[in-house]
Amino acid sequence: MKTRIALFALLAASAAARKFYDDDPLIAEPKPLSIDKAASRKLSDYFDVFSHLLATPGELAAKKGKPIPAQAVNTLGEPMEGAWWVQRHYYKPMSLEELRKGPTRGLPPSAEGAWTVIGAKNEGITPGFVILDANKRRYFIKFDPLSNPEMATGADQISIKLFHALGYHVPDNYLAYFTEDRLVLGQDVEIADNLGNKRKMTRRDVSEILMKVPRGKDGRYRATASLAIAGKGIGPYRYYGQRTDDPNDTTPHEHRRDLRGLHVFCAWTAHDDSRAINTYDSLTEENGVKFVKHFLLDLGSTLGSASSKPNSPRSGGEYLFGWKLAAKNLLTLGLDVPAWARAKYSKLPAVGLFEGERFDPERWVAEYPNPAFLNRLPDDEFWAAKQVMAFSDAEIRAIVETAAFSDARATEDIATAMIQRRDRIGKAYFAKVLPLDGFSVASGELRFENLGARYKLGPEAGYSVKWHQFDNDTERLTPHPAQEFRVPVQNGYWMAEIGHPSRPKQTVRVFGRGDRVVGLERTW
Amino acid sequence: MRGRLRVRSSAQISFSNYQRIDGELNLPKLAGERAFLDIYAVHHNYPGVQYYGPGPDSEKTGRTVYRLEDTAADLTAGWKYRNRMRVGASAGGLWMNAGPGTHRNFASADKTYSPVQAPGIDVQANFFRFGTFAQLDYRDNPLGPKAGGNYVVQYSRFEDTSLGRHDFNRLEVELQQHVPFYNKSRRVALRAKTVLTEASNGNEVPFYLRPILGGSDDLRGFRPFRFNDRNAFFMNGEYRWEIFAGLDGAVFADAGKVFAKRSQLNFHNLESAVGFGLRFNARNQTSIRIDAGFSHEGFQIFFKFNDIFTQRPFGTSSSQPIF
Repeated sequence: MKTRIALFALLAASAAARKFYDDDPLIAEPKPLSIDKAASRKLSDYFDVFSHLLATPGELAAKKGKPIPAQAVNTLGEPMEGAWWVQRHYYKPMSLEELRKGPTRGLPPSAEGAWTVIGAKNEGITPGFVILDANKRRYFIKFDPLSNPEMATGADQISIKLFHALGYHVPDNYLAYFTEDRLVLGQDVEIADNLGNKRKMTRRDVSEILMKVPRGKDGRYRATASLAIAGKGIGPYRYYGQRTDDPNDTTPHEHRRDLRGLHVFCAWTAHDDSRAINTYDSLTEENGVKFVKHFLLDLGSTLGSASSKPNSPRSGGEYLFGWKLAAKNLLTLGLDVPAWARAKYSKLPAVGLFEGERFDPERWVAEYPNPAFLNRLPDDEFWAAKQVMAFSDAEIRAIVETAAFSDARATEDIATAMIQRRDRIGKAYFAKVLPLDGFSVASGELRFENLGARYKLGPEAGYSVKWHQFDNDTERLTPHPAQEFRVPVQNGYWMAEIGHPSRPKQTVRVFGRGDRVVGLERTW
Repeated sequence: MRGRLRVRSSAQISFSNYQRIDGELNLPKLAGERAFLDIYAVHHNYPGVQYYGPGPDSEKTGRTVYRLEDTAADLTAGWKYRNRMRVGASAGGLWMNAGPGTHRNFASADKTYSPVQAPGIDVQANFFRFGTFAQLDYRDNPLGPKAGGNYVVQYSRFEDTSLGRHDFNRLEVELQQHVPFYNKSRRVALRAKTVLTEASNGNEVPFYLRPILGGSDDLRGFRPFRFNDRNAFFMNGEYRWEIFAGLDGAVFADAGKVFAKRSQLNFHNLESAVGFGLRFNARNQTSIRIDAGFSHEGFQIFFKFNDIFTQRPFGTSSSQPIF
C-alpha cells in the first residue's frame, strides 16, 4: 500500500513539474462546475468607493518588490474563453456589420403594442423605467440628461460594442425611440420617493419622469433599452478576491489578466466609472451547466459622459481622493496645473468631456484605485493594447456611427478622439515589451506578426533569436547554436528567445513542441 | 404635489437661546413654470445681537448687545424667463421689538447708545413694506457656481405704520461674476454689493434695519455685525481651486465700508480682510465652508453650511439685515 502511495506521489510530483501539457495552450477554460446556488449580494456604493480610496483591498504587488504575474491565462499568456471573457475582434477579426451589431441579438423592445412599466427610478443618477414589451421581454430604460441629449445613450451604444468586440460579456442594449403613449402603467407598481419610502406609482409619475429627460422635436424620447440579462442576478463582482460560493472562481480577481488589461480599455473609452458597482454576476445556465457569468454594465458613463451630466474634467486624471495629491494641491494653491485641466473639449452637448490630444494612457486612472488595474504589468498592458490597436479607423467610425447622433460633428469628434487615444495606447504599451505576437511555425520556420512594424510603433526588422532545447520535465535549457528563425529542434521541446538590440531588456521567449507553439513569456 | 407646491416650516433654538421659527409656502411652477409665488413668515427672538455703534469709525471696544424680536410675513410673486431672468414684486408686514440685550460680558445697547446713535432703540415701529426686484442669472449652477454671472437689483419701501418716524427706501445692487479657467478646476469668484437706504424727510432708518458689515458673508476678518450705518458697500474676491473631488481650497480678499451719505459710495477708506478657507462639496454645491479671515482687528474663523455668495430669497423678506 505504501509503495502505491509513494508511486502515486512520485507520479503526481512528476506531472506537477511539467511546464507544458499535451493540450496546451488551452483556448477555453475547462467546463465549469455546475452550481445550484450562489448568494445574491449587494454592495454599498459608498463603502466600495471609500474602502478603495482609503485602503485599497486585494493582494497588491509591492512597489519595489517582485511583480505578481497575471493569472487565469493559458501558456501563451492569453485569458481563456469562459465566464469572464472570450476571444473576439483581435483573434477573429469581425466584419463591420458584426462590429456594428455588437452584442445585440436582434431583440429590441417590440415596436408593436404597449410597453408596460413594471418599475421606475425617479432618483439617483438618471431616471428610468423597467418595462415589459409586448413580447413580455424585460428591459431597463435609461435616458440622457436634459442638458446633454444623446450623450449617455450614444456613449452606451458605442462602448457596449467596443467592450463586446474586446471580448467582455455585456448586456444587449438597444437605442429605442418612443412616445409617451406607448407606456402603460402596470398594476401595483411601486416607486420610491426622495426619502426612499415606497408608494404606489401613478400615471403622473410616468409623466414626471419623462419631464426630466429630453424629448426630440418629433415628440419621441430616445433611450437605451437594456434587455435583462439571462439568469439570476447575484450582485456585482469585485476587482479583488474571489466569490467563496463560486467553485469556478479560482483566481483572485486582482490577478486576472482580463481585469488587469481592462485598465487599458477603460482608459481608451474614458470609463473612469469602472468600479465594482458597474459590474454584474449572473447565475446562468448554458449547455446544461449552471455557472456564474460576469458582465460589465452601465457603459453610458463612458466617453466623457457621467450619465446625468458631462463627466468632470478631472475624471481619468485623478482619483476621487488621494492623500499625496490632495496635500500637494492644498499646499501649492492649485498652481501646479495638471494636464487634464488644460484639455480642450468638444462644445457639442452630445459629446461629453472626451478628447485625445492630452490623453496619456500611462497616467489615466479610474475613480478609485482598482486593485486589478494597479497590479497590471507591461505584458497585461500589451495584451490589451494589441486588441485596441486592432481597431482600424474605419471600424472605429462604424461603431461610433451606431450612436446615431443627430449632429454628424458629434460622430466625428468622438471617432477622432478614439483614434487619437488608440494611437497613444499603442505608442505607450508597444514600447514596454517587444510588440511581437501571433507566433506559429510554418514550413519549419518560426514566424510572428511584428505589430510594431505594422503600426509603425516598434522596430521593423533586426530581431535576433537564440535557440535552446527545452526539457519539459526539468525546465532545463540547453543552448543550440542556430541563429536563424528556422526551427532547429525537430523532436521534443524548444525555446526561442527573441530580442532586439534597441531594447536589450525586452525579450519574447517562445516555447514549442515540434511545429507547434505552446508557450510564451515576455521580459522587460 | 411633485414640486408644484412646497410647504416647509422649521423651529430652531441655539445654546444661547436664539430662537427662530419660520414657515414657507412656495408655488414655483405657476403658469407653465414661468411664474412663482412665495409666502414666507418668520419670527426671531435673538437675545444678544451685537451692536458696535454707528458708522465706519465705531470702536471694536464699543460692543454692546440688544434683543431683536420681530415677526414678519411677506408675499412675493414673480415671473421668470428660461431660469435666467426673474422680475417680481413683494409686500409684507414687519412687527419689531428691539429690547435690552442679555450677555454677561457686554452691556445692553440701550445703556450705551442714545436714540441719536441708535435710532429706534427707545421705541420700535411696525412696518408695511413693499418692493420690486430683478435678476439676471446665467451661472452654470446657482448652488455651486463655477462659471457665469448673477446680477440682482432690489428696491424696497418701508412704511412705519405705528410711529411714522422711520419711513425709508432701500436699494440693493449685487453683482457676481465667476471666472473659470483650466476646465473650471480653478476659478475666480467676484462679488460687489451695495445697500443704500434713504429716509423720508424728518425720518431716520432704525439701527436694526440698517445695513451691516462684518462676519462670515462679507468682511470675514471682522466680527459679525461689526459695522452699521445707513449704507454699505463691499467687495469679495476669491480664488478657488480643487484639492480633490469633494474639496476646494480658497484664498480671498474682502473690502468694504459702511457710510452715512450716498455720496460716499466710492473706494476710499475701505476696511479690508484677507484669508483662506475650505469648501466641502456634495452634489455640486458647497455643503460646508470653513473660512479664516484676518484684518487689523484680529482674525475670525467661520464654520458655515453655505456658499459665501448664496442668493437669499427675493423680495421684502430678504431686506432685513439680520435673518
